[in-house]
Amino acid sequence: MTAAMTGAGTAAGEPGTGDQRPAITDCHILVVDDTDFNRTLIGALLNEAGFHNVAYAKDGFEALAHIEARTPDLLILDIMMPGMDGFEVCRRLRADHAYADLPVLVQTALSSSDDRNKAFAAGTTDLISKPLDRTELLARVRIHLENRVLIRDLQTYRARVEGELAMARSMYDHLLPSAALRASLKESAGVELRSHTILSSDMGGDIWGVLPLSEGRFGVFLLDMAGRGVSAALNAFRMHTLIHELAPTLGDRPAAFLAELNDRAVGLLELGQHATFIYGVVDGAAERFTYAAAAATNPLLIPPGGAPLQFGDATGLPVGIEASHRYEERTLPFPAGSVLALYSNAVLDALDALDAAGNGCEGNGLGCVVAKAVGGAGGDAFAAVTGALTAALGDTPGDDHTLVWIERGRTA
Amino acid sequence: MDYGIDIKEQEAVVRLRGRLTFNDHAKLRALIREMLQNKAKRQILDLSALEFVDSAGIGMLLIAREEMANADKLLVLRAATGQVKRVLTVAQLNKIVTIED
Repeated sequence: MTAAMTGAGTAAGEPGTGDQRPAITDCHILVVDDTDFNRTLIGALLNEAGFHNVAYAKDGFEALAHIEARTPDLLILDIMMPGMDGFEVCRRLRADHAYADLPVLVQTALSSSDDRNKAFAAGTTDLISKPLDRTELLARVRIHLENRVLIRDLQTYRARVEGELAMARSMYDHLLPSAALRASLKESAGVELRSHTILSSDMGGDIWGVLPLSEGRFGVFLLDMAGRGVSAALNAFRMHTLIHELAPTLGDRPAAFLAELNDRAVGLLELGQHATFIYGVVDGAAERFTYAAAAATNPLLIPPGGAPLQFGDATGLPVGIEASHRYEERTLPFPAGSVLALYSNAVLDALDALDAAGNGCEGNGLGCVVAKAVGGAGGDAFAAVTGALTAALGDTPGDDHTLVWIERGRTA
Repeated sequence: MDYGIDIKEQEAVVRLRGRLTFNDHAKLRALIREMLQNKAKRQILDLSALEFVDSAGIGMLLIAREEMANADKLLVLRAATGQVKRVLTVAQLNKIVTIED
């Protein structure tokens, strides 16, 4: 304590700026005053307090020209000046978006509250009374510069985070099946592959994809990482890599694929991190979807001609918890003209919440929405379902939503 | 989510209430510390008043299971209902955690 106090002695007993405060003495200050004496006085006070980056302007025009050439961190502005007065300088600065948050200290002898209000209405940040008081001037300069520096740090940080998230989202988009891949599946397997993905603003852990196989078959997976945000997204990326590593050898055999993926994931993921997962093979010739699941949502088969919807069982231990787990292989029929839908848990929750809002389909919001969409006269059922989903979610979903819609042509 | 603990001779019963989600990470960590500190071998999580659990919540229950096992204690999930029971069933957690009605 004693040592700190001795060390903190600053010139002329001014309060020290302290280690925690932002470095404000490097900030660029522009002093605008038509009186030589005032400019010299303010400059001297600032210099004495350690501010060494000070520039001067004699009137409003000169001030604006200087600001355009080099934006100061703080403006100390006189009101009564010939040509363009301080009010006008202030108004012009505030009208320009680039200077909207530049701190402007107006030095004024104006004592009536009307005049002070007029100064604030023109966009003044704060007032300094004339005749100048050294302590007041320095205190106000310091506080506004500190705010300026802190806000700028936050803005920089925020812009960086937003930029990184945007880049991560674009990387995510590149992992999803491309238009070319979808076109080739239509050619080889006779299916139309549609999807609806909403990413939460801070990224999340949904990922899906297709793995083309021989003889017109293909595999499709949907993974939903537990948790949310960047950590879930990173794990989803790792899992995506694993899935593609396993595809060439195990893509034909869903249960073996899932068991191997689980074993690898147990070694990869930390305790408390796991994923729900479904992987299945679409075999058009055999009219079958053969799949294995790990606590996924129930795959949904929508048969043609308004026949009842069919949900497959998707229970199973989530991926990444315990090694050497064996998974069941299950099948759903997949006749021509039908649709197979896979969806993340968030989709189910959102549509079930819609159901709770009272449209009378007990405990099966998704089934209800889909049945209505399919029953709609000749319309686009996929569009109807995604429309209902968007309506249920609003603009800012807290978690990722994925709906994969695989439609088998009637003549495939 | 909040909880209350009742410690008896052989077992500690922790009653969880409300929703167990991503946001409860710190709270569940504190709970696990409390469960490690008491002497009971059987640590029962009574889920009858738990209304909702999300995937991150399941992850935290699995962390609790592991921490108890490391301390030679047994974690038991008891009396789940509604959505919580459905999630435990879909994830087949009965294969790796003791689950009682």
